[in-house]
Amino acid sequence: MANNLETESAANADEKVVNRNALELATLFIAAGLTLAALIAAIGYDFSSSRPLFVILVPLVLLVVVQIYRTMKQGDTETSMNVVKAALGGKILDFAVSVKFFMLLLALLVCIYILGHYAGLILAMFYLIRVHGGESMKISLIVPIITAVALYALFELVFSIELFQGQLYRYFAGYRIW
Amino acid sequence: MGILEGLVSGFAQAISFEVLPFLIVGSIFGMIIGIIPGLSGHFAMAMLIPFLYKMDPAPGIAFLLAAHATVAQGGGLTAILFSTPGTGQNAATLLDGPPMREQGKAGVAVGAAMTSCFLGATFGAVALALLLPVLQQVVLFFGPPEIFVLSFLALTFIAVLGKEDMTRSLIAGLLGLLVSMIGIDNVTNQERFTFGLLELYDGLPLVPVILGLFAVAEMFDLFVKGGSLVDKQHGTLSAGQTQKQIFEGIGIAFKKWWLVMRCSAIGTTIGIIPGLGSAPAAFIAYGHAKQTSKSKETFGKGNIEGVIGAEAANDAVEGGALASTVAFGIPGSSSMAILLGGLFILGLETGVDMVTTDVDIVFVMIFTVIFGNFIGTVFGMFLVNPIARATSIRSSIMVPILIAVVVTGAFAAQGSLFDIVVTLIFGVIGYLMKILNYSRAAMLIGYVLGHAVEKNLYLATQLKGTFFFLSPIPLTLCLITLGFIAYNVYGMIKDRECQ
Repeated sequence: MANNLETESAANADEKVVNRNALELATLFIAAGLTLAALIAAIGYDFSSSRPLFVILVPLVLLVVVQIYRTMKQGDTETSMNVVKAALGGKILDFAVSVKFFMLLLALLVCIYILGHYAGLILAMFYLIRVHGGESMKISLIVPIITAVALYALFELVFSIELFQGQLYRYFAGYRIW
Repeated sequence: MGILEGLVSGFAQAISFEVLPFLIVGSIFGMIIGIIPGLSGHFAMAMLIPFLYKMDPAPGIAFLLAAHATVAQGGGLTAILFSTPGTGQNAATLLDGPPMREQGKAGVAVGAAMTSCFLGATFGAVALALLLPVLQQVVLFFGPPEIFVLSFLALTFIAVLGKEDMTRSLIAGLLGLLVSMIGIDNVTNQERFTFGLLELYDGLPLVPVILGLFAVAEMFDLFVKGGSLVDKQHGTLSAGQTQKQIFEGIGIAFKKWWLVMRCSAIGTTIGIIPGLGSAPAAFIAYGHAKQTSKSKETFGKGNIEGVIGAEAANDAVEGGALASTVAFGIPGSSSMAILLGGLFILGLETGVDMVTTDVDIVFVMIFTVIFGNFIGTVFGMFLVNPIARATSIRSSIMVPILIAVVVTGAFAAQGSLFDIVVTLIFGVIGYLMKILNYSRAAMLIGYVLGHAVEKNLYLATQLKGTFFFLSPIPLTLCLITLGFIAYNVYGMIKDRECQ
């Protein structure tokens, strides 16, 4: 029994290393593409403006290439490709949860843009606490409202910082929003 | 401004009604953040940065630095009570803190740790004050060529001495520098990497970058891991027992003043070196305490000297780290990079101006570190049981609250929705860096130093021509940088051959 558990945890650790390698490789290839594009763009700039860019980009490109080489040496490229495919297909749990969280943050941004800061935050927080977190209805309602009131008191009353009122409010207030 | 004048003015400002409330609130906030595992000093500072736009320099600095100063105290508390260090810098406290708790001496350990933190921080702050006359002279030798080369030396130190892999950290540092180049070049009016977006003409805003790299990245981590912040709750002591033991611990820390002084000196010295930070300082101090102890065999089994040594060094680091930040504008850690960003927002310049003209501001920092730690100690001692409950908050509640605060902070800095977008993008970058072991500190330091690097490169070439780096000080710094990298690469190759 104990041996089985040890074998299972070792397999999990191996899988994590393989996944991390694949993620690093994918990230490095994106970084390499972006830095090369930046290097090409820098060539077109005035010399005074591009000089510091060359000082930064030349070693950066070299280091990224070195790191790609090191990462490829640590693992099998084909396995890494398979992991990337699996991740994009939603089969790797941690990656899927991270993507979900990012999507939730984007949804929060859209809510704030349309409904305004407070309404957007309350809605997003309610969703996160109730639907994702599985908390009780009471907590899911109380926590967002108290947070919004506290933020209003802190930002608007103490620091006189007006938060975004939302396009919906602006539309009804007579602003041209588009 | 003279040093004595600065000292008096700094003290008066620190205890004034305009500053003291912010110092107190900052200290308490830092302590609570320190208690929550996964959230660290730079998280506390990142959360406070948006408020600086509406604040005067002295209250702003006190608010920011007080929060940072007390994080280690909160972290030490949970390391002892729950075997979970609130921050990485309290890892050394785990060696002897929890064994003391298991012996029923949790209060003694907490009292000794809190007092050692306060004494260590005071030592570091006094060391900074004593270093000021020296810094005032040394800084005059550092013109644009020297600062330009020193920036790269600092980044190299951070990359090599940091806990992450050297190549990865160098990549992160250079990426930070690259990101800082986005926007219109002040000298030539050339647009760089703006994609025609008006919002990028002034460069990437500082607050969203900081919040994204440190705060949102932590939110990603908490969301993915889920569950409670501390898995296992060990029984806390009753209020009466705790208070009695805490006072006993305070007495022991004062009795072992020579150990506190030695370990604080270790912390302050390590703080001056960019990249090392609190965690190695605490372990080195722990090792020193063990080596010089009469009861070496009890270390790791609940020896109070282990707690005192680690915690004193932990907080003494700040004095040293502040020295290089205020004198040369070279931050040694991510927290110091955030502080530097905060100083920019408050309209203050580091370097010659800071140590000669704005001496009072340096003393506000010194007194903030001392008072902040004192407030943290008092607060921690009397409210040890209730504040420790912060660790039992579930991430399903904690994450939405923190996200709301972060998003509001990102927007409030400049009143721009674009800043929230930048925060989210840097949140993803920060999370990727965290899980792939790339140094976020190096990236932030690169980003904060970027403007100084560019300005000083331009001035250096104008003043001394293309080969400015052949002057004595820049050449020496260049040789140290290259030698340091070469030595470490040689070490890595040798290690691989041995394997």
